[in-house]
Amino acid sequence: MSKLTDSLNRIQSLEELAEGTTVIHHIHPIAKMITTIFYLVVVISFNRYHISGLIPFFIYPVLMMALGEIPYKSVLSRLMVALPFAFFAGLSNSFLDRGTAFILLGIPVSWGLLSFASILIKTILSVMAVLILIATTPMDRLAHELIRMKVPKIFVMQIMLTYRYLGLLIMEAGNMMTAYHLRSSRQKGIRLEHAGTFMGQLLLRSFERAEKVYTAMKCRGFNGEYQFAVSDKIRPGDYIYGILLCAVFLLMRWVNVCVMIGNLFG
Amino acid sequence: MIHVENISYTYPDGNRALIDVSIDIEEGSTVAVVGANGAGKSTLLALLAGIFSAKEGTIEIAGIPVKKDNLEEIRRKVGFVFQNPDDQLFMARVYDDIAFGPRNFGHSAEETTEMANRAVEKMKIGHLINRAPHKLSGGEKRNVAIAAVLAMNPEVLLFDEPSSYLDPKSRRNFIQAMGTLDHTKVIATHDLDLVLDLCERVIILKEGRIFADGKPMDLFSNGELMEESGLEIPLSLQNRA
Repeated sequence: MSKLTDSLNRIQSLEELAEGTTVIHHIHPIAKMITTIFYLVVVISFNRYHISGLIPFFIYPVLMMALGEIPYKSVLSRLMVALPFAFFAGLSNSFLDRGTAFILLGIPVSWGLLSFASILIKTILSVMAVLILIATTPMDRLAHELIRMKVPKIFVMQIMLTYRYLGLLIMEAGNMMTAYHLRSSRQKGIRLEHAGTFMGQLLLRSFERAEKVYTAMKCRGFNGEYQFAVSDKIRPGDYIYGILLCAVFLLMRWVNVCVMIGNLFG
Repeated sequence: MIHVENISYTYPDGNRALIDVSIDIEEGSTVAVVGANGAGKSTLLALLAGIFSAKEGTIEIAGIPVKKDNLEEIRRKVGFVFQNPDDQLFMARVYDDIAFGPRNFGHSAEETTEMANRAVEKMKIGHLINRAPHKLSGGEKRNVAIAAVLAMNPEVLLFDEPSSYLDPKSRRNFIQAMGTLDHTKVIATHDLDLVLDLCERVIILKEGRIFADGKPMDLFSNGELMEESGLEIPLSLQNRA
């Protein structure tokens, strides 16, 4: 299987997880979306040297993955894609901010190192929260709730169509790569002299494919407006879920649980 | 049900795909359109579905002219099953693809569910509804594509090369499924044995014109006519001879 086809399967396997039937999957999408946004805001609101306050926030993704029966591997493997960006963004801090924050087991720990760790932790928490939301809520329902939250329809449509178009593009590129490699044994990747033609062909083929898909959509009544499945009503349990989690996040924001536990045993 | 009168169609590159074609198709009948590559089969289907619009001639489906102003009404009446199911199925889940048509036509959630369930039952694909379309086999994709069209409750079904991408068993299942559908059906195909199994009438196109029109057995057993139209006598008839 080519790497591209593998990527496509990985993207779509997350969507398949969203069709689960666990308690987390049954929570109303809007409750999950608001909770996730609130979680992100709270996590990002910590200052750049604050690490101990962030640690308790790992409870949320771990709990959600357990209750939502989301394989840890599928979330962690996708997390790895985002980590290098955060790594290089944070790395410069450890060179620029060299002042000593504290000494741990005789080794001085700089403020830069603290902010580097804080950026990494915030990235891990944020990406995990978003992945968990996608893995427990079908894309169509997320889009529908975005419209209900008054996000302009045109943006939501763009997101949905781009998301679908990406799949087509990867599929076409995967087929072309397979055909290319079958006729060029021992060749890794695409030779530079073929790259231009390859990209051009990919563009033309994906245009043609997109055109066919669009025609098929029009034949089934598509008139430029995506008709989303109507969401269920928000139940009292959804309110309780949202309010309770947001309250816990707020509490963890103002009370440093790690320090509290440390004081108990100190 | 379908009335085509003196239709001609030329592609923007100047290729004349159809020339002065006139056809009448009765309600409930199953008609095949066959011909060599480039004979105009797919173009004819695209015109019937309103994907292309003809500059010369007229087309009516159930008394409604196929033209820009009537396209929504035409699309409610005409279901088009594409040659490659991957062009048709694009949602993340089979069920959402089947419900796509009814939702677009403004049916309520209850109606959409009912229409989708009926189509799922008809094509016997209940076990597939939560799966991702791209992970299905060719035969399964074909059945899902048909169900996606049936869910719209069309009166006319158009099939472009329906037996391509199918293995022999899936092809047999497809023929059986088609036998249970009482819609007016137009099938553009190279699979002449399928035509013998399913259709009571066949129209042979040659270079954009109607070359012959009649019963499949009569036309397909005429070696000279088949030779002239760029076709071959189906295997099942060759064996009989």
